[in-house]
Amino acid sequence: MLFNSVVFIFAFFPLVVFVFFRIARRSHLLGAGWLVFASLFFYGWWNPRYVLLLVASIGFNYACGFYLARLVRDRSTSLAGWVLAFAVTANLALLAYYKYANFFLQIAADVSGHTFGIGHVLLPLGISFFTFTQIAFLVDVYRGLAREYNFVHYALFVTYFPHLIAGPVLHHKEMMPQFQEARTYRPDWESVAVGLTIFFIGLFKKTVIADGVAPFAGPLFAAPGQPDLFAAWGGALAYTFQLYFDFSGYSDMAIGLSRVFGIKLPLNFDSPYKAVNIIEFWRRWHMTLSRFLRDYLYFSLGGNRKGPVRRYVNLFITMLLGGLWHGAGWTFIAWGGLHGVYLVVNHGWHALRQRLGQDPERSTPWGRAFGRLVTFIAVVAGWVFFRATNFDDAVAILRGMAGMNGVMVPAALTAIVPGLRSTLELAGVQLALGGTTRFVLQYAWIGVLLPLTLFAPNTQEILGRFQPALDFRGSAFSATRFAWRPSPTWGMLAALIVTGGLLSLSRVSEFLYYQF
Amino acid sequence: MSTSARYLRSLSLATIALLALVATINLLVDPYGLFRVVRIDGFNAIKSQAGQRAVVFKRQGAERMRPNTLVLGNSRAEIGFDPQSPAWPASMQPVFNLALPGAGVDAALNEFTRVLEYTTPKVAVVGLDFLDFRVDPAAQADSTPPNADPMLWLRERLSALVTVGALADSLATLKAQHDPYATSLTDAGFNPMRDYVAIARREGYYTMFRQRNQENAGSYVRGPRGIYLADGRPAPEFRAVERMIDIAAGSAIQLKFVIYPVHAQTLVLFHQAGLWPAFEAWKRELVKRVAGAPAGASVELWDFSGFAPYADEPVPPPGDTRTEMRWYWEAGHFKKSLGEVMLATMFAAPGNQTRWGHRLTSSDLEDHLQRQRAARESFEASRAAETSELAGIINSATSTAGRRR
Repeated sequence: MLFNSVVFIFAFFPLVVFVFFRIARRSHLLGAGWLVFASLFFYGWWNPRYVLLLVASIGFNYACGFYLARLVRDRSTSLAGWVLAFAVTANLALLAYYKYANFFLQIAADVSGHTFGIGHVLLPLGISFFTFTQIAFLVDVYRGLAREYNFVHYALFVTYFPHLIAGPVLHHKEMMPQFQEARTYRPDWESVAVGLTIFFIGLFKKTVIADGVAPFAGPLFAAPGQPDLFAAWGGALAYTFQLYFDFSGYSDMAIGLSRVFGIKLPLNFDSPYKAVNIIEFWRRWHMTLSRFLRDYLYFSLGGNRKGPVRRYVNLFITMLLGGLWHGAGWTFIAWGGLHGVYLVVNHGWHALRQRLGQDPERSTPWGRAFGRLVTFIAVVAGWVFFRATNFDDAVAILRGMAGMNGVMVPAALTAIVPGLRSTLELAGVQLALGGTTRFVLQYAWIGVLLPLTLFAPNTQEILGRFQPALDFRGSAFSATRFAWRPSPTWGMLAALIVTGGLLSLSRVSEFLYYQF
Repeated sequence: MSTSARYLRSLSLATIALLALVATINLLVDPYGLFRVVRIDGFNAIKSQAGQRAVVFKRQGAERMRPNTLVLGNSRAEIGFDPQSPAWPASMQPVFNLALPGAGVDAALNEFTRVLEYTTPKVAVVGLDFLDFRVDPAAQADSTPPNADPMLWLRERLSALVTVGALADSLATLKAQHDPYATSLTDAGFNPMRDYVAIARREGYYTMFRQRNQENAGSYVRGPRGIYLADGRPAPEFRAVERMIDIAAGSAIQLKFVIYPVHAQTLVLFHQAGLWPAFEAWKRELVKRVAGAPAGASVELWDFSGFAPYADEPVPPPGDTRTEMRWYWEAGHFKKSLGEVMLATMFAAPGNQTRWGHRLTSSDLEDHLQRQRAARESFEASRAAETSELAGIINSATSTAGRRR
């Protein structure tokens, strides 16, 4: 079931909320149980068979966690280590089978010349997310940072439908306490108002913006050929905005839905294209995944405790595996590796500035503007690998973006300014036959979305007065009179967003991050 | 009431009001002709966006008209046969053009059978497109028809009332009322291509020909080259032709199959892409089916895919935005002027036909194919520069397709 579907918005969600608060008045545990049931139904709407897989995964990990907690309490450290290794391996094996088996068998086939096949394996939705959250739980139990929880609460933590399919990647220590609080089970009008507003901002971002700009990205990646400068940049930028508004829209919807129940989720996006360097970009993009990779992969590899060289190697490996997490393909690995290199260069630059006696966190306004531009271009170049079907296509598009396939503008546009045609022809610009409307619309979208992502306040800043998410630290915008408040005037303004989102529901499309 | 509850009430009421406003606008403007609440010249009479929902628009229009003559096919037929044309014999009026852009012969059969649920036309003119019959030899002959959507009726109406697309189309419809070049569909289902008039004046016919040739060449070289499955059976689409013949015979409907008069440039592209043998085989298969029609059935197969004197109409040179072509919009789509010549040929008294267009029968099929081959060779020789440019387009499409493999 998709958040941006009529059945979800007008049937499933209202029913779940209504029944939850009715049941929770009598028993908190039953209320939580109802949410688990609703979440499994939500998951099974897509493919009922995989509900069993999800339930088995929860049962297995809960049992392992329970046993591990006992061992840790009894100080059986060695056995606990083995149990943890077994449980984590089992989780990764499940993920490897469903997500990576065909990819690795293809590599084996390419290397050996023999064919290995297990047939087509349908990827269970959200498997990367529910595997990671549970591995984090097991590791924390082993580290003594988590204890055995109530099973219903644990099942709800994993299955909770707002985050189940595409995150945010939740951490048990920020969710379990909320499931235990009595106020979670009482309806609160403020939470409903804040939650629905965030949800509908997310819906607008997805259905109006992401789905609106998508047709200007798809054709380039479907058949790049030898794109010229404008075609390559137009398609790459359109995808850059499509992905951001799609995924951050999804995250807003998840945060908003959860808030209706009074449960706050962590932030997943914080205007990532405003980042002045790539380190900051990863603090603003898919924040819960970055947090997970840092805490459970980068730190496990040794982090920065073993010298600068090992630190850079660890960083690179973390990003490489982060790329692989997004998909079983060389283009994802290349994307992760590229960002690994970006981060190494960025940390190296900071180290150099420190050595020269400068504070790397401080820059001139021009320096910051330049950093923002370079970061943005680097990120867009990365998205080309992320989205391209194969390496050749990615390279063809990057060549186009570098101007190596020439520059082309629609011939009809040159008629607007007298003499422009001959000037352009003298400059070596080619004139395209047709395609004028598409060219103008594509760059009109880009012209609107670029300043929106670079300068406009984001969802949590707009809702900043009402603690919209767990880790929101406030912002200057939230203190201004333009920040949202639950007033009738804001109700009418928000209605424009709600109406825009609802009117765009007919072109239902999946979220890009469902495939991960 | 708390401030949050007041906010939610204001939000809900304003949303309902906005949705109602949008629904009212869409209901009155009715961009797809679904509701027909009002029809006012200068307000909503020209349905510039009806093509977005051509299937629904045309099905409703045909049901209202209950035509004596039905035009079926794809965009070539939609653009080429004007039901209001005087070339249609009076006895065949009213005519409805139920041809749908992108529709294959299966879709045409589907529309044909739907019409028969409420009326029995006297004549059906059915455009046949060779490209629809190309098949991958490894394909399965049997395909599962898509499941019928029980909610379709409701879904169509809701999406015509409360969607941003419908609102945009309503606004475009309002704007189009005073735009002589706005795209539109007539009430009889014909597309007059008014937008192409503007494009031709802005970019010139050469641009339109070249752009479409480039697109088509890609599909010619990427797509299958034959019309037979691996086991030797012809493409499943022929079954739709047989079914139409059976239905027409059973309902005493005159059936006129038409092989479209594509421009000579398209025929040369067929040849250069290696499709010519399949093109001829396709005609042979069609002739077999027409010849096998039940006794007493009125089924004709007309081949308008020749060269002179219409399909070889010269294309104005690059940069020429003044010269208008008389018979073609671009190499794949003929104008209604040529459609009228075709109608005059097909509906003329025996012995009174023009020298263009040929009624295919098994008796002279091979001679006819031989003459067409000779005509193509003659065209390629006499228009060498044009032929060479087309070869360049095919070569470019071939290398692009090779890279993608």
